[in-house]
Amino acid sequence: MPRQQAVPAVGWTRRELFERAGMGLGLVGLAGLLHRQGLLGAARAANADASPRGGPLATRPTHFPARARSVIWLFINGGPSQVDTWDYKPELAKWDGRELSEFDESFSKFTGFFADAVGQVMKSPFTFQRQGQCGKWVSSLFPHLARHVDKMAFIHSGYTASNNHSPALFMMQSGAPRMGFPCVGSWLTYGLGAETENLPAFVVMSDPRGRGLPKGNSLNWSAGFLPSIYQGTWLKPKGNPIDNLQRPAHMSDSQQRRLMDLLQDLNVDHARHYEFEPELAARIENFELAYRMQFSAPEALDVGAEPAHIHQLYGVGKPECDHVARQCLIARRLVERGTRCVQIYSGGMENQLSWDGHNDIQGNHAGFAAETDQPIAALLEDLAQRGLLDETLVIWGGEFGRLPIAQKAQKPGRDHNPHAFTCWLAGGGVNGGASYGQTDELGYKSVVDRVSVHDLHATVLHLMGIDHQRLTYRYSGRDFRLTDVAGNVIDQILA
Amino acid sequence: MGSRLSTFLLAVALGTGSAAPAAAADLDPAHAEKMAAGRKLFRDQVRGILVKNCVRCHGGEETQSAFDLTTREGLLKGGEYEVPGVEPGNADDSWLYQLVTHVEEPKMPEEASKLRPEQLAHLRAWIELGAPYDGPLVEKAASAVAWTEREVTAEDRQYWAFQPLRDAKPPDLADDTWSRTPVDRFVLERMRRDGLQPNPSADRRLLVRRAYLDLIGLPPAPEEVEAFEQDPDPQAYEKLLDRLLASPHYGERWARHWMDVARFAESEGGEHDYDRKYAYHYRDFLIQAFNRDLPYDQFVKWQLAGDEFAPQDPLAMMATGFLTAGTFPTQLTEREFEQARYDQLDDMAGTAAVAFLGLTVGCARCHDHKFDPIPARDYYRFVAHFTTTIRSELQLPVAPGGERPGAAEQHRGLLAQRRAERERFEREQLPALFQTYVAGLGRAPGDWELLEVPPAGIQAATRLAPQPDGSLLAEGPVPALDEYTLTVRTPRKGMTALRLEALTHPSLPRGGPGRAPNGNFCLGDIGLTAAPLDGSQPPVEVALRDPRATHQQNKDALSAAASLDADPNNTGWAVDFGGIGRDQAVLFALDTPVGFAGGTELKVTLRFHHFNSRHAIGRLRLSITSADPSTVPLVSDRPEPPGNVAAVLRTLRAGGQVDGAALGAAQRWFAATLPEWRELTAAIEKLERKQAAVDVPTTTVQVGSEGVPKVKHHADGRGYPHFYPETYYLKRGDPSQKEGVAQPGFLQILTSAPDAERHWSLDPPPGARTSYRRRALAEWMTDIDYGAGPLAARVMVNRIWQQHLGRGIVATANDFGHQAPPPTHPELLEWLAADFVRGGWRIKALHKRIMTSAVYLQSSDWDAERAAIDPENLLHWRRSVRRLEAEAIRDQMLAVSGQLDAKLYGPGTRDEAMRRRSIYFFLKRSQVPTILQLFDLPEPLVSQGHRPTTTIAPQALLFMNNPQVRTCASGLASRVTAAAGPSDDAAVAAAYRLALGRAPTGEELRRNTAFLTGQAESYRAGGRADARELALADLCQVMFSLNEFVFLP
Repeated sequence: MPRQQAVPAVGWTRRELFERAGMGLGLVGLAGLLHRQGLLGAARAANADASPRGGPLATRPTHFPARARSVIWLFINGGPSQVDTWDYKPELAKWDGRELSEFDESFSKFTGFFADAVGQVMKSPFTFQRQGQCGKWVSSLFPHLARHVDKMAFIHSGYTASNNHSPALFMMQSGAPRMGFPCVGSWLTYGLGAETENLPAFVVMSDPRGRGLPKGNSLNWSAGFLPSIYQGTWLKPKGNPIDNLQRPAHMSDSQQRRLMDLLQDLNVDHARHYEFEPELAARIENFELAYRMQFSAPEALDVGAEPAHIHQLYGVGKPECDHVARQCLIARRLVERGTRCVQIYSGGMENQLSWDGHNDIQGNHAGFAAETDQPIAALLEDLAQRGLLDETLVIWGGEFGRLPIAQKAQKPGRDHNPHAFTCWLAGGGVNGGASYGQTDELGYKSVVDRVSVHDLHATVLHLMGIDHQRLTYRYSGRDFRLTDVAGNVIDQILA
Repeated sequence: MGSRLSTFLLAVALGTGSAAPAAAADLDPAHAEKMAAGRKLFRDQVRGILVKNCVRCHGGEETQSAFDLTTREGLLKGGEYEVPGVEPGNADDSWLYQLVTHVEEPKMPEEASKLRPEQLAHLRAWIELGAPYDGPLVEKAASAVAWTEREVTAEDRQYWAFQPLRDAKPPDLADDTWSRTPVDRFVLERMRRDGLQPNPSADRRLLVRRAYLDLIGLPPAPEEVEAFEQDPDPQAYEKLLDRLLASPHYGERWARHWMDVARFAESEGGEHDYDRKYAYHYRDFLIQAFNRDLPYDQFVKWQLAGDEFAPQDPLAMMATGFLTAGTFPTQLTEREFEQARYDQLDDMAGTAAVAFLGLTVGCARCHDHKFDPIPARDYYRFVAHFTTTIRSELQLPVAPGGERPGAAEQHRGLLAQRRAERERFEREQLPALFQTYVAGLGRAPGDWELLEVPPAGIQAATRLAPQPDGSLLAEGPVPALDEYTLTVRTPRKGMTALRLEALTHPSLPRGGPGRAPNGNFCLGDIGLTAAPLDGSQPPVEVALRDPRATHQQNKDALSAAASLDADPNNTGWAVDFGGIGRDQAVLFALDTPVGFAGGTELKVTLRFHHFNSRHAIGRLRLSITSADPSTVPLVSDRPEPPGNVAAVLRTLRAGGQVDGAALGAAQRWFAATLPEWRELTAAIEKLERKQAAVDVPTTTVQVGSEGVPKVKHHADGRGYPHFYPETYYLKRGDPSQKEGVAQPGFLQILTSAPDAERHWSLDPPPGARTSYRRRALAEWMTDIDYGAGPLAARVMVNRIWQQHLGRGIVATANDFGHQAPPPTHPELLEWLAADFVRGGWRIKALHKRIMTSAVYLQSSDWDAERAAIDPENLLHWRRSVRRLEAEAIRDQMLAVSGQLDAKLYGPGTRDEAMRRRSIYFFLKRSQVPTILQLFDLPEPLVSQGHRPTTTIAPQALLFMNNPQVRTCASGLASRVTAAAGPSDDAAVAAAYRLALGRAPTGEELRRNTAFLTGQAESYRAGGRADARELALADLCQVMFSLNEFVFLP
């Protein structure tokens, strides 16, 4: 990594500085502060002024020019069915009712999750129409998103490692089908730092309708073996979204300010005796930052500040999609203010609580599509109108796809399919309207230009200006990467 | 898969059992002819079929299920299930044939269409002809494990960390007035080489705070600071260290450090992150181990194999919590079973290697280690020590940490009352009832004679307590597996059948009759021997036949007949589906009538070894009859007296006299048949059991061990086996690419015993539950002369040094391999490690070694010139200022606010408002308490050797706004008010003294009193009656937020 050469001012190794110093530390701001307090000689102040901003979340240079600055990842949790959404398969109707093993003899009853409910090939209960300049076939599930297909680049040939939620989720988040590895948002904030000191750099929003967290809970936004500051900040769906952001009830702002002033005075006095300890100064600066966050974070999360036509655009107030509308709006407000990565989970845990349509695929997908279609379409439109889409990468996708056969149930569902999934990317650096890769005629397996999860990750990092082979972290005796020892950037979907 | 496979195994076992000797004795005369015909068929047809459909996965690119059919030898050997691939000459009984004809699962070829009928016919004919080969199906590489043949060379052994411990001599230095201990001479010598001079000692006020926070993680009380400052004793500091090392809080502090290394947490992680309710015992083990100064080699041994070194010592059992503290998925599909188990083995073995040896052996899982001399071969052999180790929960005599005082007394009262009631019944009603009963006896009682087993005749893993009705009741912890051997004498002759009753009892789960959680049991095998009492001939086996039961769970694997079949373990008589909560009985006819002149000793062996563990009978009774086994009723409608009682009853009925003892025995038996008496007795027994629990408490403890009940898993219903009997070499770490069985072995690079592996390997003693593999590993791990001991000592010495000095002599505490930066003070590391081992691996002595050195005592004063030479202070020319860890920050706040609950041990809680030390937070992986998470507690997923120290704004928000911080501030404010009264000056002075152990400077006093006045005024203006209290609490909150409070110079 080129950053390794960056040597900070006050005699710490890069690693130590990295581990110790603070959010937006501000050797710059700090130098200013200490200079005002007369703590630094002119020479050292000048040195500090010239030095790069330190700290684990300081903005860091990219490996090559970035196409996008932020990511909004709409995680279609539970595994959306490719053949009912974006991967149109007219052949399905012809095969309807036949055995999948006739089509592909490698199919076994253990391909999905439930070996005892394997049904026959089932055509999609939804209709498809051509949309946009690119003429993309789109399912009737997405009347709003259908208008934006020229912004999206589709990957139809994804495949993953497991037919089980949790390993597949971990694979999609972290590139390993096991817990304990840093996820994409953590790698991004580790690699790029934060753009703002006033907001968390990596934010996660989960289902607010009481349907639970994705399988694996907070491990889905874990920093793994990276320092824990790189883990995602989960906005609690109920109560105060961020811990400790509200000052004690008895205290007014001016009373808190007075307390802060005393604290800062005492700490600066103390720091005079330890002027060479950057951590002490960093902590002084952080109290000021924290004080400001009390205002900036609630402001960023305040959807009420948006005008009525924006509420209308997203569908705020509509019973079916109000919750996702608010989350998408928050996502826009956050990236607007410099948050690096936002992840929104559509759906909660499993089965009917998420897109995991084992039963009644039609009702399941129709319900979750209705929750997300308008808000996500609005997000794309809103970002585009503001000129933010060019620097924001929007991702839509789940942990795996679903089988083209029915899963036997009162109303037929579809079971997990690790062999094929579709996802799309839109925004910064993405060639809108492109479609990459193909599944077989029934959408069962990816067959043309297959895309591994590592390839997808490599592409996301690439769009953010990072060479996935050069973003490494030394842990347990070796250098780890998000993409392990694999990953190819999918050039064909780049603008 | 389990039951299908076991039935199949059974069939094979029976088949080979009867057929094999005959086949060996007389070879088929047409053998040669058949083999020749078979070879031709093989050449013409079968080879093509196998190559096209089977070999890719079974011996070609992969060897799935370890079933390699590229050679006849491999075919006959079969795969991991140890079922021969074919039975030569018998296609129908051949596994291969059953799989390809889809008689058995998994249907083969997998994920492809069934073989054509003519192909099946060829295979059939070929097997019938003896299944000969004309040569291997594919040419193989010379060695199956060629991919892992990295040689460990003499040069590899030259690396410093793999060397024996050297006898390093502390350097002699001229003009050395600074050094206090040998440690210092190493450090000073190194400094001088770079032209550096160390700092002098810090002042006493600072030293006492440093020692307290370092050793016990709590601040000294102001009085303790003052006493130490004024102590004229030249040994004052040493005495201070001794006091702190003797404090029970010392263990709490240092256990927490080790918990990072042990990736300890109390939930599964993964999908559901279920709680592990009994995992906390491992944490309690750590606290006790540090407090007792358990020698470090023993500390290592117990964590690896406490169940093999000292199974009777609960502490040793608690230590094994280390093994399975790692994460594990809670949802698995069949395809993931094996991978998940190999991941778990990797977690166990990899964590052990990192924690004890600072070696990243996990890197060698997929290929030979890139940097260190660890071939993948060594990895799998290392892992194989853990092959059969699983997580379990056992009842152990450990105080749970939550007894209610007074409970014992209450029980005693109730118990006395019920006993009195029973005595009254026995005195006032029983004699008359008995008389009526005897009078009503019309004929000789019963066809069955109960066999009363004398206590000396009982042998079982569990306690079998004789009951008044002649039955035996199992009591105490339920072992996973059990075998009852019951020896009894009888004068009876012509015995024709044995009856075993499995009886209900209120103490049993769901009333029994079994001990399994659902009340079931599974009698896997029953054996009977008979011997003459006069010893005139040795015991003879009595064959049992024609079983008949009141109820049986099914007609095959769980029937009465299954207790006589060839599988003594996993098939047997069980009674679920209609038989739970009811008395059951089974009769076995004796092959020939039994009964010696002069009496007979009968020995009945009942075996409960089902894979569903804890399936023993809870209450049982044996009887014998001489009646016709085919007609004798299984259960008679009247209570049946045991033999001695029957004799008494016959005498009484005939009007004869019996002595008091005999009468008493008969009455006691009779009482047990009466519902009223039974109810009273059941109540008494229940109270007695509770009493026993109060007197000698047992608690459920999570352990890692073998041959013990497994903890329930979501995928049990899918047949998840929890472990596989063998560990295989896996090419690229992939369970579908097995390359032969890995036998347990040690890392070559750390092994120099002349007799190599055999040096530590142990055969388990007869009857051992465990494999003794981990015990051998632990012996090797701590063997200073021939094993890994030198490295283990270096690694631990370095960990302790790191905690005291802020960075290790080797900076990467978890990696001593080639990727580690070289030690800053190699000679010192050698000296400390050798000293540690010489002194008996005592950690407390090591603390004193380090903490009495001048390098530890020095001040943190900074100096520009010296900083220019060594900016990172690698050479320790000053003491580096350090921020306290999350736990110490929180515990310190609680301590100075006077709110700390100092209770030791026991279950933790997730309540962030709890007031015990932070080590007692229940560590749920997905919900780590906020304060710990904010202040860099590593996610407890993998071993962590070093915590980073970040400074981020959310930490500041915690000090500003967190309700628990505010509660502590209010607590400190109350203490301040109590000490200082209404004076602002006195209040500020008290706050400084209590929070920081010192007096405020004039400037500080001025700033704080001004704040206090202004803030109180402001609250007063807002109409608050408690204005000053609020202002004072605000000031105390500032105390907590001070850099001085959280940084230790």
